[in-house]
Amino acid sequence: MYRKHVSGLLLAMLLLLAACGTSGAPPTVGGVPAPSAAASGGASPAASASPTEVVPPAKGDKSAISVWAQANNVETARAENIDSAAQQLGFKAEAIADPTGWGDYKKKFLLAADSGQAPDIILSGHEDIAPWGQAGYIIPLDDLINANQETFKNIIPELWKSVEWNGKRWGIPQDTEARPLWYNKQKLADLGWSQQEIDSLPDRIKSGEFTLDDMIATAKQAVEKGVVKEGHGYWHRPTKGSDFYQYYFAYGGALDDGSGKLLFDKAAAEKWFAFQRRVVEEGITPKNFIGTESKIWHETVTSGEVLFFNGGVWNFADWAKNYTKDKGGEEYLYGFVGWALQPSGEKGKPGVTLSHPLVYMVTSEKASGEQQQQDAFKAVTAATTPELNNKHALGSAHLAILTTQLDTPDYKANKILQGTAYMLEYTRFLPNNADFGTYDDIVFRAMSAAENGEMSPAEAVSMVADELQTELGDKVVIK
Amino acid sequence: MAESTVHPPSKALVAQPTLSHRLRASATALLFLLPAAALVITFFIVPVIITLYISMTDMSTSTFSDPNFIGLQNYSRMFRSGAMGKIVRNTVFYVGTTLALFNVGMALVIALLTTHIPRRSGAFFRALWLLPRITPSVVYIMIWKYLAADAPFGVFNQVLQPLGIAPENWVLAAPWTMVILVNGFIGASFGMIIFTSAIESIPESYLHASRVDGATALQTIRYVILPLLRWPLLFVMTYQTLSLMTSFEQILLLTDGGPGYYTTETWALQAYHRALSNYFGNVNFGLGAALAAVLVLIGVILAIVYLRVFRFGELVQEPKIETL
Amino acid sequence: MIEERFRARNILPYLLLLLLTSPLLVGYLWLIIATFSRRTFGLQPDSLTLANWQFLWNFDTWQGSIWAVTLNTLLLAAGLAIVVVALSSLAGYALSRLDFIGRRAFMSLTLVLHAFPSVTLLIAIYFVLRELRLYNTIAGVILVKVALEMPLGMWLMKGFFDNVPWDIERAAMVDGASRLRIWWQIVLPLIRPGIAALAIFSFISGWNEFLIPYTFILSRQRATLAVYLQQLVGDSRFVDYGQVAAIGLFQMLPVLLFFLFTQRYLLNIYAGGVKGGA
Repeated sequence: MYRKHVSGLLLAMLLLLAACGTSGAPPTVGGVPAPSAAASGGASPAASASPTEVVPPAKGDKSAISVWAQANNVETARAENIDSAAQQLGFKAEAIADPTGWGDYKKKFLLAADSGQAPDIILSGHEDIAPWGQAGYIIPLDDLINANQETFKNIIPELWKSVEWNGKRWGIPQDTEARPLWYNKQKLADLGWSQQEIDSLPDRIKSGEFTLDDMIATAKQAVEKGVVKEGHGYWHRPTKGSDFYQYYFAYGGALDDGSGKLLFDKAAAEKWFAFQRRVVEEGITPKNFIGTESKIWHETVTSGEVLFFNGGVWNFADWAKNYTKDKGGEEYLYGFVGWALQPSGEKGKPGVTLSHPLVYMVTSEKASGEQQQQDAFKAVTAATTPELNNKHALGSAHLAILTTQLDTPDYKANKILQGTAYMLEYTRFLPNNADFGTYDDIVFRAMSAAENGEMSPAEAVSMVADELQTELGDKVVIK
Repeated sequence: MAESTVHPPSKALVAQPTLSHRLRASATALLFLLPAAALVITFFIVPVIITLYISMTDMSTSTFSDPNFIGLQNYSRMFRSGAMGKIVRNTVFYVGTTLALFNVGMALVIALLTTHIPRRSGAFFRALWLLPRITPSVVYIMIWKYLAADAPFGVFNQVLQPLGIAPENWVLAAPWTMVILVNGFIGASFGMIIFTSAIESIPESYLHASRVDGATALQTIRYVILPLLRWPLLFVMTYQTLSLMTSFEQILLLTDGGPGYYTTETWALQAYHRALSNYFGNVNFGLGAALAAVLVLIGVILAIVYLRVFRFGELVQEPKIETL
Repeated sequence: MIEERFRARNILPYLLLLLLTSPLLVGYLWLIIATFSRRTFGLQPDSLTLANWQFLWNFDTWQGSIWAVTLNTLLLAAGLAIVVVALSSLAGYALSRLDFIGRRAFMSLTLVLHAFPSVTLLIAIYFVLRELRLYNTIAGVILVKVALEMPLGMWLMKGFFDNVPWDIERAAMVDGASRLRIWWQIVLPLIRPGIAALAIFSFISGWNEFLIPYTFILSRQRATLAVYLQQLVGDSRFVDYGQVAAIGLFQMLPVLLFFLFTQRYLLNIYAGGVKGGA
């Protein structure tokens, strides 16, 4: 129905264009001096009115399996693995690793899918399953997964949860990660902690003995004793992102009400917002902290100036390669960096972490304009091996997705991946809900306002509740 | 150029057109205008109409190919939103302040100063002021972020610390100041160029007469130059009001509307946030289109008011040849 | 124009200008320093290196050769400049010389169009491109970009045509030359500075454009410099600012050189542009 409206509008315009084509006035339009204009079929708008002149989309060979992966220059295995798997199978493949940024990448995919020119396989965050599944751009994979149990029985069971939506599985996990609380062992020793106390910290966090309150107290002590500078006791993530929900979880919050609706737990959120404010008031986090340049954040924590800091396990590879290479890279980092779960907010409750698996999704015929979903899935299956996934995991410090991968010698030899593997047992995921983006935007702004002291935690919480109500209505449960 | 800047052309010079002349002229004009008009209609006007339509649907990522018509619900949702008041105030403040301080104010100061000093030096300084315009915005913003960055990385802190001012990340500590500086240093060059060429076209005799009368430099500016800059000033004000209202890229890259609760979020940025980007993927195009549509409406009203109030119509010179 | 003794008397204007321009001077100085260092503390580099410039000869596997990308960008920007100039000068001539019906309305419309936030129209533009089968084509990208540049272009060209005395043209018309011929053979050569100015302006605009080529072109063989640069700063976790600075400077250099040699013309654009309203 919608198309009709657009077409009607365009019809009038095409008449205009046709008129302008016959007038011979715009030779410059027809002869657009673009190199590939001819190849891509876009001559003049007048010409394009007749469908015979239209050349198929420049997506390469029809039979090639195409994949897009959002990946920066050290994560290219996300695309390359499909490429090499497809070649092993004798398929032609066309892989694109796109590091541009999530927002632009997803928008580009959306337009490609709407016009039937999407790649056969798309790698994205698991949260896209809901909107893309709803739109019919991707297909459910249960039958195909069941038919390939040899491979898929080895996926770490916890990860399947992230690809479930509407009672079906819509993606194959490609990687995952934990978001540890990093701590500076050297600074803890300076503070007077014994070696035994330092070494047992991860376990004490896991058991709920050491909580966020204890972390604040320790950091405050370190500032007071001059072990670290004012504001350098605790640095959380400096920019928008899913990490912050770990504190919401730490205070007993949940994002999903169990029936598939989003949940906002006011009591847990108020404790969480109060925590964000407290770290500033106690002087362990700088004021005006959210928005700090990532590069400066990394420079500072890797130079050993901060006691506790929270990031992702992948940071480790980044730090070794890009920030501390001149000081000795991994060896230097192992010298003072320790890792643990995020402490719980309540005594006796285990620590938490959050994983955000990226998943391969297979696009529908509607989205890709092709009927090679079976072959595309074969390529994904062939790429889901310990060898290929290790290339990604070890190269970019992401956690394994296969149980068989955990036992490979290479993986075992990697101290940081080995040391954080247990965290997957304590991990939580973001909900697969099409409205989570809207939810997150509101929560993040209010949370930053609470941290900056613009409004009290209670005010921020009621602000969120009001806005969620306006924006999402009965699609969100406010408790 | 000089003469017409000062004296708009007299209507008496133009012959009175007859209807048949006008019709013939219209036929010829069609030939000249069609390619441009066709493109503007296809890729400008039609998209605006489509945007209006989208604003009345529930189009989002999940309903992109098949949106439902929902009437004015997006508009009512938009006006009910708690943040709207703040966003409107931000927009007015941002446009007003940047326009007054930089796009007109600083532009005028730089134009006056660079025409006051020898030609080559003037050109050099104007070239510097044009740099931000040709710098990729990602790089331009990076420069400012590092000027304003935390100690020990930032340049401002290196200057301010000896003066006893505590180091800060200035983008976060003074977000509005930074937003206005960053946009102002790009925006000033437009007015600067226009004012410069207008000043340079003022007949030397005027300035000479003023000096013979014993006027100081400031008096010359106040009583001779400024009155002659009336139309360029109005043009820059009009044009740049609309530019500022619809621009958001620098704010997006600098503060992304933060820090905190919609601190530097302007209307155009909000429309972008809603219509084109969402960190977790499901974009609400319908609501974004409603925001864009209201912005267009405000812009059009403003443009029309400007056209009326400043009698822009009169400035649109009559064609010099309409007969033959 | 302003007399020697009048300005020699004080250096105040220089001091003021230096003070007002200082953020730019310092900022661009930092940019240059940053391209040659691993990290910077204020204006002090920690060590000097050429590593940030490696992209010139060491090609990234995924992004390909910078020179191919530069060529794409050049072609896009040049294509844009040619079409904008051609269509704007046609339309500008009509606006300046012909008293056609709806002329005033059209003139007002060009100003009103400026009030449209073009980026937020992106999705709607997509639907148009899709219907015209121009989505995922370079031609589509250029046409969209041209349309967005057109209001300013027409306004500017009209200003330049207004400045051309019409006696020569009248003589030609008396001799029976057609309008189109007069436009092409007589008037157009007289506004060369204006054409140069608009061409430069459009070229720069095309050279730096990111969103339209990125969103509407799927093949990565057609990436432009702005896309290349954007890919280094996206949500990519390894943002290397030294390299961003170097590639940013690389992207600026041609425009900068171009600009230095043609500054005269670029300054004209505004002179012409304001003409209609001056």
